[in-house]
Amino acid sequence: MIECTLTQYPIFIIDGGRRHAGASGVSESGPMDRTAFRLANQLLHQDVYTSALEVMGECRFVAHTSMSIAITGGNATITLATTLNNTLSTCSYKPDQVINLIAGDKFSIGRLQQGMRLVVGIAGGIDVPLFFDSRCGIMREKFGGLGQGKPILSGDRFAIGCYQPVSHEGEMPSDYSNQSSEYQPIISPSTGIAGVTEIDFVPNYQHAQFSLYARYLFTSQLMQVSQQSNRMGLRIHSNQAIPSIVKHESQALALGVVQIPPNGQPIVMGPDRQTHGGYPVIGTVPEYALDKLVQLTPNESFTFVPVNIEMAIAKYWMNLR
Amino acid sequence: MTHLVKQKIVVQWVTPTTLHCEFGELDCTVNKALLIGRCRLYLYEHMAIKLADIVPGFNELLVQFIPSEIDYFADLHQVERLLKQYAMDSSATTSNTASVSTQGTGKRGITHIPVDFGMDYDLVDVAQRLTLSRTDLIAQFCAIEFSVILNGFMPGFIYLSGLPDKFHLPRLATPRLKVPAGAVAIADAYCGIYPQCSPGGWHILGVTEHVLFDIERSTPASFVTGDIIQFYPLTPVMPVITPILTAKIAPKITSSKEASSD
Repeated sequence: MIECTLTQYPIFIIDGGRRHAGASGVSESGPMDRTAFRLANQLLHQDVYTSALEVMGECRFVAHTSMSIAITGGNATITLATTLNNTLSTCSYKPDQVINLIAGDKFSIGRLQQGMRLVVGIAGGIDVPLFFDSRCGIMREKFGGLGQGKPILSGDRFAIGCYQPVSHEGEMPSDYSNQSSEYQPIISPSTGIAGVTEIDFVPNYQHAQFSLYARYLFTSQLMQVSQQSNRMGLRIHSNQAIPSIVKHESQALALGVVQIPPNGQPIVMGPDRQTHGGYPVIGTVPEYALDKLVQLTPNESFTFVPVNIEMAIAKYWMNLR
Repeated sequence: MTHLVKQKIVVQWVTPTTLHCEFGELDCTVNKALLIGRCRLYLYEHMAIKLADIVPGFNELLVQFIPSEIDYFADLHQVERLLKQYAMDSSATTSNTASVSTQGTGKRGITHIPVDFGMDYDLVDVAQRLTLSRTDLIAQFCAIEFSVILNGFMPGFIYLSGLPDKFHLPRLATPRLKVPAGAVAIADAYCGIYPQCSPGGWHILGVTEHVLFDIERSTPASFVTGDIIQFYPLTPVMPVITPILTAKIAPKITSSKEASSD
């Protein structure tokens, strides 16, 4: 049992996402930053799809049972308060390592110094009911999560699942805390314009129907992720609007599709997107690039860089390794 | 042979785990939706173990793979081969398009859904725009046999095809902030039913209590592609009622309903 005593933003229960749900009109859901999600579970040496928490700001928890956790995806101060023999001791941790808690321990996550969201992996995952093979919940769909699609808010308690390590070597999860040094944070400025992140996208869907000028504007200007973004979609701010095209019929939306609504400000569709959408799509942001995009703060600039699908596939598997 | 030529299917990877299968121009929406719905089942039949989901669209199938199961070239070619094979077989065996549209993938007959054609929403407005009387509008609307194209937009929201051209109206200029659960509404070429309360820009003709999505059931969504739906008025439509009179009656009906459901 674990209790969230205080949280600045709602905390979402995430896992690998729903299976075979689209034909019922049910969203896929899943983690915003899949790289961080996988890493948290890898650190805990359990199945990479084990459910975890997605945190966007300051929060405090009390562990009512012993457990191991791993926090990934960004940078924040993690403070652990333990009471042993009636003496309170506090120590702070950095992300990307396993932290072992005993019953009664309090841990808090401070303001994010880098990135927009953290993943809190828990050995054994979170024990809430499965719907469509997933524990994710979306408020508007009214099922999953803590029940009725609810996220975790201040005061909520929830059970953790049974820990099933993947390893057969009999090692304790804590032994893995030293092995995380290989991990490169994904929020790193890449080449191109100094300090500007490049976000790969694969031109597809209605890309060919957009005017040459629209396609030029899409890749040639600096953009920012708007504050109005959420798990459904990331609203992108571009100084010059991208001229859209007319498309009448709705279409099935893949993770990371970039819709161009009539106002010319792109929307990159996230895990909680609706199954179908009516706006024309200029391309898709592959998973590894989406992981970078969801961690950009509103004042960080980026550019969209076209890559072909072969390149995207190669980078996708390189990132998985 | 003309059918074979027309069924052009383009299959390509759009993300490192998703295949996009676009179905080209076909004769009419009903049959295309059915073909796409059946192709989905056909793919499941042959490669279910590799799949995370197949999302049907109006003109496409989005095939999502389990990452560890992907074999890019083999899967692309297998999906392409299966789809083309199925499309060819179905156009060869069912030359009579009418029989296809009534069969459905759900293997069910017509589902009759009661609708409360109250005056609270757009019924009068739609009747005026179509230059029909309210009773004629209800009568003509209830005579239509709708086909379920797909669930989309939200859990259990069904898009229905079969709306005659004269009923085609553009969406509301300003979407409603609150469309009630069970709203039976039309927009463009489609009719739809809102499974739960939400914002929406469709013209609401009435409200039904028919459950479209229930997460507690083994199959949460009530309808699948190809199912046939026909609406009927919950209460007999009275031809000569002035708006003032109905305004007095309407609250009575709703209040008695609430009392009985409690």
